Amino acid sequence: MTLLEVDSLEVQYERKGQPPVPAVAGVDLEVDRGQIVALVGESGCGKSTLARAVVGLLAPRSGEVRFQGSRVRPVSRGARPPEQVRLQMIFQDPYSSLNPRRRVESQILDGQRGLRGAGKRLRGGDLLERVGLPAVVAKRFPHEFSGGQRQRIAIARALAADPALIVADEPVTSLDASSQAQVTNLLASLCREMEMGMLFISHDLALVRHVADVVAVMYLGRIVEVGPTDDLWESPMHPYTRALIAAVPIADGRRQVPQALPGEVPDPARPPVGCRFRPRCPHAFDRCTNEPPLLGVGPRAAACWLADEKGR
Amino acid sequence: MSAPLLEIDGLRITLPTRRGRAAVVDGVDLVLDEGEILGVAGESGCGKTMTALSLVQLLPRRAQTEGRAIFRGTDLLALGRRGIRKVRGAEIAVVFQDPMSSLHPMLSIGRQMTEHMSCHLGLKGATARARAIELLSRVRLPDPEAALGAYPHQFSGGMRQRIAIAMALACEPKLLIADEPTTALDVTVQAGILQLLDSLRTETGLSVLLISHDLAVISSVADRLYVFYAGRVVEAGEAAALLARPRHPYTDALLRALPHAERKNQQLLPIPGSPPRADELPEGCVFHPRCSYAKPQCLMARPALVELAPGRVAACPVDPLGSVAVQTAQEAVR
Repeated sequence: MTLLEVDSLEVQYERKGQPPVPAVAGVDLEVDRGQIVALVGESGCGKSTLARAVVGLLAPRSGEVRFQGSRVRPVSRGARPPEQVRLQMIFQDPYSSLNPRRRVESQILDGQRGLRGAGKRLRGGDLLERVGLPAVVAKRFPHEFSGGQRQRIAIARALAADPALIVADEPVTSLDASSQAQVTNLLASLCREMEMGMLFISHDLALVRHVADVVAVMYLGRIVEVGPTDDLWESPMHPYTRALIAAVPIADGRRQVPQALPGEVPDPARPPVGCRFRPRCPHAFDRCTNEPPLLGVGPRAAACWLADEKGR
Repeated sequence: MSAPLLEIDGLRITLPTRRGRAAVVDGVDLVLDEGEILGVAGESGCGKTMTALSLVQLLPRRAQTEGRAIFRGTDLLALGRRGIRKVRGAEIAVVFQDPMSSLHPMLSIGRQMTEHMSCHLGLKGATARARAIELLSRVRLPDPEAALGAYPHQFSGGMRQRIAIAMALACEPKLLIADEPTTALDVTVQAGILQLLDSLRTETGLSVLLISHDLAVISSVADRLYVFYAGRVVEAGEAAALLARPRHPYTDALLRALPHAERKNQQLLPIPGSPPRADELPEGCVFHPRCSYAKPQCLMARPALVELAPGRVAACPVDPLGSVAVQTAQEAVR
């Protein structure tokens, strides 16, 4: 049984007096046990919306998300159904995802019922030690920690539920390079040790290359290319993936200015006709306007007419 | 050779803490030549931003500075409030990390751009408008005329950063301080901003002080590089040579921590621990508790910057990477 299945998911935001914004427009995705799947793309492509819909923070318009075989229902005011507690999320900004007025221990043990006194202290200390923080910091407040340490606390809070799948939405984007490496390694090793699945959302392809088993590239609400990390990196099939790779700066001192992708992500409420990437694509031709290319099935696929021809 | 555009000499910045004043920047010497992009790298909290802000006197009020920062013959640190106002925004402009907080959300782009020009250049009305359009097209903002009537929220992060750069360029500054200008942006947009900085330097001879924690960003445009750690310069030199063969263990560790396109399936190598607080600095070399090459001598005294080659300095008494370099060179000779 696949750990997480996302099936033709569509999510849209309603607006007053304007057409709704279809931020996620038909996405299929799978994550297995112990597997790290990265979702990459520019801001505004629907990555975060997809992440929120996967954990039930947003209700899908159509399609569904299944976690361990059961359908994920949108979170309401009551407690989550017990079968979904092992689906956890880590947010981008550890400054706003932790409550500044509550002690670390009480925040990470929020979901843990029936713990008192010594048992509570032990559990809190244990969780903190698993993310590389000393147990003695349990009684401190978030402001006493650096950004990287706060993100560790947020991870400890997710681990408290003994998760089977973690959805991490840009977990290291707000950190500096060294803390990025620390937190990324921590997440990856937790996944390997606990056979936990992870949906790792990032705009940084270079970082993704170090951690992910599978990469899915998202553009304007759809996945345009998917494949095993090395394969996708070494022979990208979609022009958008190639552009993302070309934009990554390299610290080799050769002073090569990375290549920018011209144009911006279009308004998802008015997506271009045909292929959604066409207006920014250097290789677009007639067929791209007339017929939208579809993402094929299988572990390696790209939604591009040219990739299709190359494949054959 | 002509005098450098900016010469910082013995800069020390202290802030009050519970244990008395602590130096967040201590003994920084830095030289920036005309028409050069100078990179300043280091982790958060190592004094990069404080150094930059001291140049335009935008430090927190309780900060005290010592030393000199000579910019075109004037000591910026000694200028009074009126004096610095003539320099700040006119001769030295600053672009910050978050373009949303540096633009006023309720004023149109046109208003924000022209207000600044009337203040420094005395431009009004149609002249100011024309100048604003010219600047916006210089930063390659699509449809600059329409942009003047629009508000910041109508632009994406990358476009807002371009607008912030256009505003900074309004008075033809000699020096642009760009403090983490691409950190809040996507890689594709980041590439565009880096290209823009590079072409502004080539086209207009603009000097840029580029601050970033990301050595890859700095590497792509900077001519020379200063690596900061705990308020000090630990290594400096020509960017290409420095990144190809770092000599200070901290620079080396920073490079290893970066995700690298060509290094696949490898664990990232973070630097253990975190930078020390300014009021809890370790004895001797400030980096020794996190350094994998530390020797007893590192605890003895604070290492000074040593010139390794012309224009190349590093502050490491052990110099473990230097001996490696010598060894490999010897092997190559054999």
